[in-house]
Amino acid sequence: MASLPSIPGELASADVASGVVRLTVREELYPLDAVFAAAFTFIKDCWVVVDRADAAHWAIALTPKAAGASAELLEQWVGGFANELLACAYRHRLAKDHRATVEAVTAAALAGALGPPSLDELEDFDFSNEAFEDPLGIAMSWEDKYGKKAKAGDAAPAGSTDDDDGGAP
Amino acid sequence: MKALIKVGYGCNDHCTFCHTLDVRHVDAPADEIDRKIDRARALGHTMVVLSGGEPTIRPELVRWARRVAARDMDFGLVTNGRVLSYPAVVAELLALRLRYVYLSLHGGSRTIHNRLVRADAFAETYGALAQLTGRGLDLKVNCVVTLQNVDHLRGVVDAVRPFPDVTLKFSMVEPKGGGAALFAALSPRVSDAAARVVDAIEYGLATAGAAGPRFAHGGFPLCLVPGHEHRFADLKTDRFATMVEVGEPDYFPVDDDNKLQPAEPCAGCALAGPCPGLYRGYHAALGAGELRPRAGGPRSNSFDYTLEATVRPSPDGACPVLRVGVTPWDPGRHLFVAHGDRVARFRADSRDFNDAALRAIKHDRGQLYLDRSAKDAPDDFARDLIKLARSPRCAPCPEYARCTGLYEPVPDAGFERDDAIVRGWLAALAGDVLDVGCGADDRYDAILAPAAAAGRLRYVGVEPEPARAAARAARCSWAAVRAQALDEVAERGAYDHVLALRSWNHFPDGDRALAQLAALARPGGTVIIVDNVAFGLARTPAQTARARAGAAGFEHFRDDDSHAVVRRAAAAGLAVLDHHPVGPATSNQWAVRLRAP
Amino acid sequence: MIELRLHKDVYDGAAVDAAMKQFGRYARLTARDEASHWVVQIEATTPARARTVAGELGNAALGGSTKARPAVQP
Repeated sequence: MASLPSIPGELASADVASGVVRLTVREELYPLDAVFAAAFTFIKDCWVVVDRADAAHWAIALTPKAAGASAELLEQWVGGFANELLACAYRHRLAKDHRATVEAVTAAALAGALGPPSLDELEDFDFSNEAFEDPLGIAMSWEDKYGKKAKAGDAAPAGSTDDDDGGAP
Repeated sequence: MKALIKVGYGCNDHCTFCHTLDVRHVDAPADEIDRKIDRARALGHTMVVLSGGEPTIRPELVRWARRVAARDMDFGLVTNGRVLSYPAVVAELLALRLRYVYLSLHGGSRTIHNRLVRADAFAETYGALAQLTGRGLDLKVNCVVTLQNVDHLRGVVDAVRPFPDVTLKFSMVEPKGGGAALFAALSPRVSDAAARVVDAIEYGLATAGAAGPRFAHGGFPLCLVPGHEHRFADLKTDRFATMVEVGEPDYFPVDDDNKLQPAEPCAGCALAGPCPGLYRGYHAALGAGELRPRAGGPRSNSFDYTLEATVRPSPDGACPVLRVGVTPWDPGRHLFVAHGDRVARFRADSRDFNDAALRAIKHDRGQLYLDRSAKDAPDDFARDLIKLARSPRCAPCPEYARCTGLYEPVPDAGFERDDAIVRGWLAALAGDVLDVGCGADDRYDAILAPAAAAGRLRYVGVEPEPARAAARAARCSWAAVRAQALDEVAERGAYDHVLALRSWNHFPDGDRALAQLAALARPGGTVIIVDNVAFGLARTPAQTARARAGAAGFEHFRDDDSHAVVRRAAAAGLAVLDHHPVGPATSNQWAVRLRAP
Repeated sequence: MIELRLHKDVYDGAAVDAAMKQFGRYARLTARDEASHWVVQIEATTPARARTVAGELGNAALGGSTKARPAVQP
């Protein structure tokens, strides 16, 4: 394994012959969710393996799928990954920091909500055509879900006769 | 640049103002979208954004994202976000180069949001925001302002405050689809809505952290959002170049044809260039009485077409623009330049001029030039610029009128020919001459100085910029030069000839300026007015970058052509002795010679 | 033969199984369960093919493990 010119050796090293670059990060700073999120954005172009370096560190191995990776190219990949990882860790921290605010707003939303869809609704839904999992039936069109046809009168704003049911159709 | 594809008009919400209310049952076949994704790549787009209706309810969503990524483009969504509350869907799309999300959130609480979207959607839409934040996305949250939420806009600000990477945009409801059918019940007065938006933005700015969120608005005339004009955002500011509706065979440029700037009161407004104007439907219903046009303020007199790509020549010599297709190219903002067998494609993203102005400059006035200088702003047009003219190959083409056109460099830009007209007029002057806004340059000194030395004319120059006045005074011993603005010149009726040579568009008020110039001339004296119209410069990216980083500031208050002066002259009782307007066969310099009453 | 070592703190066992099922028709795969790792051995007709299968199998197992985790949301 060789070190990379612009990245400290204890953080990253490259095996040019095998086309692999390895990055070591502290779990305390980069929780596994952040590592997963960053890894996910790279799996189109790289093979990614996440391992434990030790009790406090993750070791991430990136192997670009395109053959013939040079040291410079491997350095670019690991640099890009490090940037993505930083963004993901930031998001993770952000989500934690604002948990109370977001939970409060969401809880207020759920307090008067209709609740989860009924079994009847789920049974009516044809999962076989779905390319992604949609257990809550979110992706059903409004007309399919509520059994109405779109017409101008449906677009009545709150306060009109058609919206006296509380806004939700 | 982004391409916007409408995948269908079905939706899992049913917004009160739904733009596509009458066609919600229409969905594009999957293979139509496949073809349009491929076409976006062929047109050189770097991102495909799916919209609808609601694109995320299509089962092909992930497959389309994969197809976009496989063609080396980024992926984006205009969405209500509900499906994006599933973490797995977001993760999968991020891996497929999801980079842009424009998410609709119309209230900061379940009650308000659900009232507008007519579904129990808030928890999912808001949950999607939590999924999407911090992912390095260009993340926009759009709140359509209607009578139902106009009193609750601060609540939306509160809801997005935890997400500093969000840009929250408030959009005026458009009278289209449901928004038109229920106009009276939905649409607030635009001035009221704009005031509430300004309040919400200022509240947001006061309470947001340094990192954000950021704030924007759309669909509001800029005169109604004072202090926040620069926060205007639309498809163009988000770098959308083209879009295609369901069933349309090819892309069309993103345009502003659904809005207008009514001549009364917008003509002459300093904000006219970047202003979106009013929605046509709103103007038809409620008029323009709420608008407050802004007088004064300097503006640009040029814009850049920046090189985007070179276009492969057709082996059979056929028109390369026709080959790639006519409709995707914006008639005003795109520019194809042929030189030999090479064709380059340029694009203007200027917001100093609106689309109508860009089209007029390009097609009506024909004022396009290739910048061959290394300057921030060309100052010797004859040497720095090469004129571009519509190719004669376009003349017989049936697509002439709707095509952006093929342009070619022409050797004679006409600058010297048109200036020779002015030189001829100046050479014939005798008596007392006042040159208003004389500047520091010596362009006509070779004509004026000998006449002054021979005692045939007495030249007085006035220039409001003291440094320029001093420079000219130091150089011209034959001239009396004063540091004065037009307003400060008091010698009414004292001059045989009054000149305004390239200073006309620097006067803040055209009507007032013409009256003042005429009053300074003796009865029967002449007033000579010469100026340039705005023009487009075809530049390389490096030239554009250098120009934008340069120090050249705006000095013009208007972009009048000679017809604007002639109209004013007729109204003020001045006779038109000579009139040389700008056209495709001329340079951008016009000249008018008038007789004072 | 390539050996892919997938740490149990990171990779979900069901996701590794699903990935092996997905890629089983491209190479001969054998698995063993060590204290800290799932270990997958990959044998294919050429080293390049084995490398590709190992890489894609690892990616699939990672993706599956991501989905298996509770959502990262407030």
